[in-house]
This record gives sequence, C-alpha cells and structure tokens, in this order.
Amino acid sequence: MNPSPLSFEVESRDQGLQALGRVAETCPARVQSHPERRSAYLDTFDWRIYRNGGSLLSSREGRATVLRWKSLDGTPHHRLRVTEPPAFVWDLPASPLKTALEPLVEMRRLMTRLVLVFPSDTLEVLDVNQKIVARIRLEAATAIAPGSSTPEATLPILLTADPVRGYDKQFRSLLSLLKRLPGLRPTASSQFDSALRLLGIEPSSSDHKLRIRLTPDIPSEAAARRIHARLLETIRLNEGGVREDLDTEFLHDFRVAVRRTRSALTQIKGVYPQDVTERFKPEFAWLGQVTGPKRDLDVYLLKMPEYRASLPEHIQEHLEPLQEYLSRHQGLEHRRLVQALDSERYVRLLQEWQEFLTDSNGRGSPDDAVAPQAEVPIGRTASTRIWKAYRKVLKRGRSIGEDSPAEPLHRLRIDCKKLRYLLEFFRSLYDEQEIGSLVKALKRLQDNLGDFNDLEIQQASLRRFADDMFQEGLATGDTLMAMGRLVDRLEAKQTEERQKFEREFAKFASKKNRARFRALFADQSTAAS
Amino acid sequence: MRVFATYNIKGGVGKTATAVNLAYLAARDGARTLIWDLDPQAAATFYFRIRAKVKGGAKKLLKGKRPLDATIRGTDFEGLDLLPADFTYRNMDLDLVRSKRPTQQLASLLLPLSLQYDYLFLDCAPSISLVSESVFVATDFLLVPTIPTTLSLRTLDQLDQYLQERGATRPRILPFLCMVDRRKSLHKRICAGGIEHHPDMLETIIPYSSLVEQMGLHRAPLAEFAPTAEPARAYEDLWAEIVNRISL
Ligand SMILES: Nc1ncnc2c1ncn2[C@@H]1O[C@H](COP(=O)(O)OP(=O)(O)O)[C@@H](O)[C@H]1O
Ligand SMILES: [Mg+2]
Repeated sequence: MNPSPLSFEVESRDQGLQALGRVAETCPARVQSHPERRSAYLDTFDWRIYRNGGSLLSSREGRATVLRWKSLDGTPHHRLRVTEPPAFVWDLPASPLKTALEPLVEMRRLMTRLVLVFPSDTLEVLDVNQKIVARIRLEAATAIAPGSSTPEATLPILLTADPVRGYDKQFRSLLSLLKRLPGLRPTASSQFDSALRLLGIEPSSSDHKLRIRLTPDIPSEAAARRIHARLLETIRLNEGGVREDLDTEFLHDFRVAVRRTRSALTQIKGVYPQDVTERFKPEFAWLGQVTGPKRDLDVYLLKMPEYRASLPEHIQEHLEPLQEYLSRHQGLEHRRLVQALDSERYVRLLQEWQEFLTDSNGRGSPDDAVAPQAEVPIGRTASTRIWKAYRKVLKRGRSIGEDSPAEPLHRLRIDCKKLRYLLEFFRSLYDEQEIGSLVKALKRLQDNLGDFNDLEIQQASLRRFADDMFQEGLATGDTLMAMGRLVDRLEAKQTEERQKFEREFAKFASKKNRARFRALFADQSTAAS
Repeated sequence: MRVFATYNIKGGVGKTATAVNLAYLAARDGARTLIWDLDPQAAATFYFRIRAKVKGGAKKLLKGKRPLDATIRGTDFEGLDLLPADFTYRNMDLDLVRSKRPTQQLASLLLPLSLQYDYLFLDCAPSISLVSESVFVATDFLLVPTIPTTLSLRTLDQLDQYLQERGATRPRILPFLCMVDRRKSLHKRICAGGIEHHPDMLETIIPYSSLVEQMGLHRAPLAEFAPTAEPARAYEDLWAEIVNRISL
C-alpha cells in the first residue's frame, strides 16, 4: 500500500511557512509559490456530483484547464486536461472522466458552485539528484459561492503532506518531523466540506423530492398552504435558470412544480375558499401552457442523438435539417417564454399567490366563508383523497382490454399522475417504507403508460415538424424519408409498450398491493366520511 | 491499459526521447501513465532523475519474485510513474530463456498493472533478441522512430515484413520520421518517399533540434523547459495524431 496524504491545520499562514522552513533545514528542498491560485468546484444546480459522493475540481494550469474528479474523502479518480472548462458533459473529449460523469450529470449544466482562492506555497522535498520525493502544500483559502447569501468564508489553513510513489521512507520521516512541530493539528476534514459548512450550503437537500413535513393533526388548509408554499419556492428557484436557459432541467422542474400546484388545487378539494381556487386554477393552467412549447423543443433536441443512432449510419446526416429546425424554433420559443415571464400577468400571479399563502389570517377578508374541509385534520383529508384517486385508477385500468383504443390509456395515465402527486404531497404522513414501495409500484406502471403516450406524441410532432419544414423549404426528400423511418420505428416501439401494459397493470393491481393501499388509506378515510 | 513500445534495431534514433516526451504528454492529458525503462543504459531513468536500481535485479523481477508494483516510482509529474532500469537488464534475454514461457513472461508480468494505468510505454534497448519477441507479445503499438536515410527505410521494410510473417494482429506498427533536417533536400526527398511508401507512417515529423539533446542537461521532458519550441510542439502533434489513430 502506498501512503496517503496527511493534512494538518495551522493557526496562521506564518506558522505554516515556519513549518515549511523547519523542514527545509533538514533536507534539500525548494519552494514553489503562487500568490493567487483559483480552483472551482463544478456541479449541477441540484448537486448531482456531490450527492453521488464526489467532487469535480477545475483549475487553470497554464493555458489549459485541469479537471479532477475525487471522492468526497479525497481519493482521486480521474483527471483530464481540457482547453476550456466544460459547460456540459458532452463538451468533454472521450475519456474515463466523461464516461464516469455522463450517467450522473446527464443534460444538466456544470456550473461553478464554489470557488476557492488561495495563495499557495509548496515545498518540494528533494533527493541528491534534485528529484522530488515528497511535497508539502500550504493553502490558506477563501471560499466564494456565486449567488449565495453568505458570499465568502475563510477556511481553516491547511498544511498537507503528499507522498510520491516509491519514496515511502522519505515520506515517513517527513511525517514524523511534521508531527513534532508545534501548532500542527492533524485533521481529516477537507476544504470542500469546510467551505460548504461555513457558507451554509446543503447540497443533500437539493434533489427533486418535495420533502414536506406534515403531521396528521394539522388542519387541511394549513397543510395545503405548506405544500403550495414549497412548490412556489421551487418555481422561484428555477426561474433564473429558465430565463437564462442554462439547461433544460430548470424549465422541466419549473413545469413540474406548476403542474403539482394545479393538481394540489384541484385534488385537495374544499380546503381553500372557492373564489381562491377558481382564481388561481386557470392562471396556473396558463403558466403550464406558455411554458409548453419550449419544453417540447427541449425534449426533441435532447432526443436527437437517440434519433440519429436509431437510423442506419448513411442516412443519419439527413436529420441535420431537423436539428436546425428544432434549434431555431427552440430559440424562438425561449424568447416567447421569457416574454411571458416578464408579463404583468405572471408577476401578479406569483405575487398574489404568495400573498395568499402567507396571509396569516388564511382568508382574504373576514367575511369569506370558511371552506368546508379547511379545518379537517390533514391525515383524514389525505387518506380520503388518495383512496379515491386509487380507486379511480383501479376502475379505469380494469376496464381496459387488449383491444381498447389509446384514449382510455391516456386517461389512465393522467389518473395515475394525480395519484402519484397525492402520494408525494402526503408522504410524510405515512410509514416511509410502506408508502415508498407503493410509489415504486405506481412508478413502474406510470413509466409504461408514459412511454406509450410519449411515443405517440413524438410521432405526431415529427409529422408536424415535417410539414412545417416542408412549408419552410427546409426539408429535402431525403430528410422527409429519414423522418418517415423515424416515425415507423417509434410506432413499432409504441406497439411494444402497449403489449406490456396488461402485465404491468396486473402487477400494480395485485392482491398484495391492494391490501397495502387499503391498510394505509381506506380505514382512515372511512373514519372521515 | 494500452501498451506502446518505442522500438528500433538501431540505437541513437530517438527511441528514448520519444518515450519520455510522449509518456509525459499522455500523463499531462490526464491518463495514468507508466514508463518502463528496459534499457540497461538507463537513459529514460536518468531523464527523470531516478536512480537506476532494481532490488534483486532483472532476475527476481522476471521470475515474479519481486512484484513490479514495489519497484515503481513516481516522477515529478502528476500521473506519470516510472519503472527504473537496472544494470542487470543487459542479461534480460538470458533470464527470459531460462523462464518457463520465454516469450509470454513479460506480458504476464504486466497483467497486474493493467488496472492501475491507462498507458504503458516500454522504452526498449536496441537489439534483436528474445527481448524483442517478448516485447512484441506484450505490446499493442510499436512506435518506430525512423531517421530519413535510405537504410533506415529499408530496415523499416524488414520490420514490416517480419511482423507480417509473424501473423499476429498485434502489435500494430506506428512508424514516424524523426531527426529530420528540413534544410537538407535529401531529407526532404527521403521523407516524401517514406510517407508514400509506408501507408502506416504517421504524418507528424520530429525535426532535428539541439533542444532534444538538451533534455540531458535539464533532465526533463521538452515541454518542461522549452514548451513553445518547435520540437516540443512536434511531440504534441505526434501524440495527438497517435491518440487519434489508435482510437479508430
Ligand atoms: N529530434 C532530435 N534532434 C536532435 N537530437 C536528437 C533528437 N532525438 C534524439 N536526439 C538525441 O540523439 C541521441 C539519441 O537519442 P535517444 O532518444 O537516446 O535514442 P535511442 O533511445 O534510440 O538510443 C540523444 O543524445 C538525443 O538527445
Ligand atoms: Mg534509448
């Protein structure tokens, strides 16, 4: 085994420099000093790399940029020298680093989440041939988080001894010397962790999970407000990235939060005053609509590599006009979307919605009637709503036979989505494991229904694009033929998904799952009615 | 792990200069790289300021009594390690003959390294012996520095032919022209002919330059002391061309 690096904390940079000086008295050595080095931690908006136990450090070295992927414990995994820091994984050249990052990061932008600025002094310990046999780095870093509320933090000053392979003896004597020096305290915490802690950044809470903590006894209206407030937070959090079109997932998450908001408004019935529900429902429907076209184009652009790969190699280039068409329209739709976000209607919607949610009184004016279900404990409301939504899914699913047309499947897909949202809103009210496994079972069915629907929409869209492109004079016969082949493939795939449905539904509607749903939701819901 | 060997029956043609500079560039790109100095004269080891000494010598190493792992040393450059030369390597062919499977021995020794490194560069001593055959068995790509003389091109032909008669798909041969003086019209003519005659010949040409000789003074790869000079650039181009060629 090769020895691993060892870090010490020192009181001040001077104390660290003194330590370097003491080492240099005992052996040949030279110092490399840089007044200001900069390293940036790259990660996605939702910290995908960190949440997978890693960190991606980018530092300028000469004219190049060097990327280093390490585990959070500091074990290095991959290094890659590039000319520019990548904005997306697909900007990287083929390399082990790219292969490792691809499945984690997917289509998300690699953003600078944290910058460390530090003067660095490295003592290189040498042998008689002026060969480096060990290094000691002294780093007094300031951490900067772009866009954070605590913009800067001074990190503990670290002195780190790095071994060189094959020179263990020299490293061991260096360590024993360092351990004898006054004021050096061995430490295991990394600069990255210290920086996150001091800046108050919590990457682990930035995934898609709603994480709404409810207890069964709070009134339904208060619970609904809490759910809606969390969703509004998500909408606001993603708005910046939507406007700047940083990557496709900002808009995706924005739209999911809008859909969930709307679903909660209609599904958690009778908890808000009727005029409130009636006012906001169409507004969020509008927000869903105006954000739709851009999302569609995002989706098709993301699918392009897959589309290309599904065709024989010699006709793949014929899809180039489609790529151009999609990019151009995506730009156009993005501008339209930004206009919508700039509109009076949008600004007012968010503002008034926020006001309603935070209004401590709960109602706009004292003479508003209390909604019929407002005071009912949320535990009962949740079970009632989930049980109803579940029954609806079962009923519709059972009515679908092998020869049924696509229409009832689409309706079932929507029913399932409603049920899914309810399960997620109210997750914290139930046994985590039980509800988790029901969500999983439902998700499988949803994947099948989702793919089936998706494949149908893709065919229709491709036909529409082909029409448009033909009108605009963008498509040659070759391109139209290639797109035709694509549609054929999608149709075949859709048939496959359709054939899987019966089995998937039977699994979801199994006796075991029915018993679980009943145990979790039915009893409490009958108690309510 | 991809294994390169710098190979030429002749000495003094730029094998070591090539192995040292290319291994350095591979590591700089981010690949985990090892260079094994197989030449008892230990030039590559010297360039990296490492002591040319292997405990127990070639014998123990080749018998597998001393794992290669324990002999590896880190160079001054991130991601680049070296297996030093040793004086006893001069008898390596004898040691190999005595082993059970003379031609396979080297390849099987390398096996445990394949997870640790992306690239291995074998810097060979000039000879035609059992060592060469072991190197062929262990190698994916033979880097053949070729100086622009009619004689060297003929030697390259012979190597080509030998590898063809050997019949194996590995190693692939990657010859390139080096120590070229563009001012000499004879060099120009021979280069043109060489490229035409050898379809495998890489396009990059390493020029003749005293800076390459200065590697011995600086004891460092070119990019460390003359990064923008012509030969350093030429080696960068050569490495880029090789990466491109072998990924096809
Ligand atoms: N392109 C070049 N231009 C000038 N001198 C070179 C060049 N390449 C190598 N040399 C010098 O020629 C000598 C032999 O090179 P070397 O790489 O050691 O060859 P080999 O390993 O084939 O014996 C060394 O002194 C080296 O510095
Ligand atoms: Mg040599």
